[in-house]
Amino acid sequence: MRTEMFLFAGVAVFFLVTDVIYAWWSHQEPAGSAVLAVAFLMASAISFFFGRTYRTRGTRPEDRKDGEIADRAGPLDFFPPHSPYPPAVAAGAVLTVLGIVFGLWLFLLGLGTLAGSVGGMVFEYVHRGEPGEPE
Amino acid sequence: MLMRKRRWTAGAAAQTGFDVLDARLPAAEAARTLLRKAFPDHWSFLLGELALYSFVVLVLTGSWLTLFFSPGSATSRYAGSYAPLRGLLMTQAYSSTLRISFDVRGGLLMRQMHHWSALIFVAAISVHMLRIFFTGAFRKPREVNWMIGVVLLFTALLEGFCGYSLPDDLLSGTGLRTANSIVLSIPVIGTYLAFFAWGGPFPGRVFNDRLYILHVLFVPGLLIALITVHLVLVFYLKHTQWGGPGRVNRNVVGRPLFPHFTAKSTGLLLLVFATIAALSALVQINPVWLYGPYVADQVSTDAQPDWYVGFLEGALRLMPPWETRAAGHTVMWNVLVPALLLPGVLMMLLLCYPVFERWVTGDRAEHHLCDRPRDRPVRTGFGVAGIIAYTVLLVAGGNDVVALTFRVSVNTLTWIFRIGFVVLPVLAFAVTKRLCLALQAREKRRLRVGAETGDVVQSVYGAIEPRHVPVAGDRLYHFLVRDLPVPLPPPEADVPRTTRLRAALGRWYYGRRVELPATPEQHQHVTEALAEPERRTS
Repeated sequence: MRTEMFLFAGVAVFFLVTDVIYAWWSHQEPAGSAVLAVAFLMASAISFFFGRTYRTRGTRPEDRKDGEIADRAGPLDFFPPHSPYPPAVAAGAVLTVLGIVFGLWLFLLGLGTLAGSVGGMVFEYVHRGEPGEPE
Repeated sequence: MLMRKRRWTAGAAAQTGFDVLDARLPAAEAARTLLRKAFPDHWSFLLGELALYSFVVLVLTGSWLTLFFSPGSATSRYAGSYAPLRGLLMTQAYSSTLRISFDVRGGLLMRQMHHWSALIFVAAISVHMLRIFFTGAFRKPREVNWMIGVVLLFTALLEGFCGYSLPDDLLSGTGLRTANSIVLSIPVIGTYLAFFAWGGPFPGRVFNDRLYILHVLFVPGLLIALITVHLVLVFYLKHTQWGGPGRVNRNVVGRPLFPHFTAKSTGLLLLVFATIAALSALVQINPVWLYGPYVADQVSTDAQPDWYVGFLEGALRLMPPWETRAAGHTVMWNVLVPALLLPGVLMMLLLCYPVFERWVTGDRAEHHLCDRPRDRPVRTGFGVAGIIAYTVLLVAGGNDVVALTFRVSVNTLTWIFRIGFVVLPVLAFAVTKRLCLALQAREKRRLRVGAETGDVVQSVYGAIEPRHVPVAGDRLYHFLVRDLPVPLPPPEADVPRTTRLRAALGRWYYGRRVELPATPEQHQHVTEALAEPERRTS
């Protein structure tokens, strides 16, 4: 995970530098500067996640020179097998943003959809593994 | 000591009271059959109750409003407490509506409750009907009750429109003008009929009084009669139910009417009351004082009917301006088709659908288990296509609002909706049928390999795979217990055309399906669960 952390830290630094130069050169043109800033934040978030995972889990077989494929055998992790919420979140985001263009009523509808679907996505598997829960 | 004595006395009194009643009325028989009636407790069975309870609110608030409302088109100058309208000429109907809104204690709340519950009533009927349609609960022996339900829906629309037109404000007058031209559009007799109903040319002097008696006596009387028959039939035929362990085609499993269902349903009744009261207290509806009295040469902008008439409004707005002149008469297709033929055709389609499906299926059996919509792809496709067509019309009814909100041209919108009304339902049908089959295929997969748990494992060879668990027992039941009719065998060459049509329709309806893997033992269970009940002999 250390390698991945450095990789994405490099991406983040690239976007930060580009952002600063772009903002300075274009006299603070808002759209492009904002996009680059968001790109920087997203890359840093991934880098941070890898760094944290490295600190809690240590090195994996693929990080060692003498690692074998069989060394990694066993349960990997939990990944939601199916979920209706990602498209619902997308629809909520679309409605919210359209609401900014067309009016408060649409914005509020979008906000409701977004809040509901984000809540659903966060809590969908919250009871996983508890006794009495199927699957 | 005292407590025990009192309790004994109360028990004895109840006993004596029951004996007195039972000696004179069929109390014990009624209690045996009524109180023990089983109600399935799936939420979707409460939709009809929502309709019933909003109707109760309608009757209560409506009765109260009759005490203060006076119809009639005698005009006077307004001198009530709403200053902006003072001195305006208005009819008695409009001024008494203003009096209810501003001068009668609690009047505005009652008016708004009446209006809100009307909107909820029709919405609840519609959703209830969709539930019945998609689960196939209209099949034998419930066809007649379905037809009564369809008539109820259209009666409710009529009742709603009458009520909406009563206050004689500018908006309702605009609605009546539309109604007048709809009556005029009936070929040959339209003009005479309109003169008869309105007592002369529009707006006439008698129509408001006639609407009033229609709205408070004839149509609600019909509604109450139909609702009574509907409920009696529900009791007699019993509810359908979702299949499940112990829930088969021959029984009804559920809570008894008393005390479980009574308690639950009373709770629902109070919730409906509370929701409508809260809505009416917080959200303004039909503020007639803003529209002003009806004047025949004025129309307010942004005029929208109540939502349940919106699809007719939309159809009117979409229809191209077609007219035919023949033998000194003009046939106004542009009004006749969308406002009379469309609802007529819709009603006939809904009324006839159970008979049609029965004919296609060629099935004489009783069905008491609900279908899962995915197991009947064609029926579900029809339902979804209908919803889509209705939605297009409903949105088209507000095309001016849509155009204003999204800053598009009304003409462009009209063409989008016209094309959408024809194309989208077909598309929706195809997609839905496909999705139903895909959902069946998904169940087959879950039966074969099990359900994914989300736990991902890596093998010693490096393959990364999800873990599966076998489907749980009750899910298995839902998957396997399905009542899929078999299409009739292909007909011989020289049979009548209707038989061939029927066979072709049957293949189209039931030809495509995903067979699910089941053990012989499971097969036997399914056959037992779907077996027909014995005929009632007593």
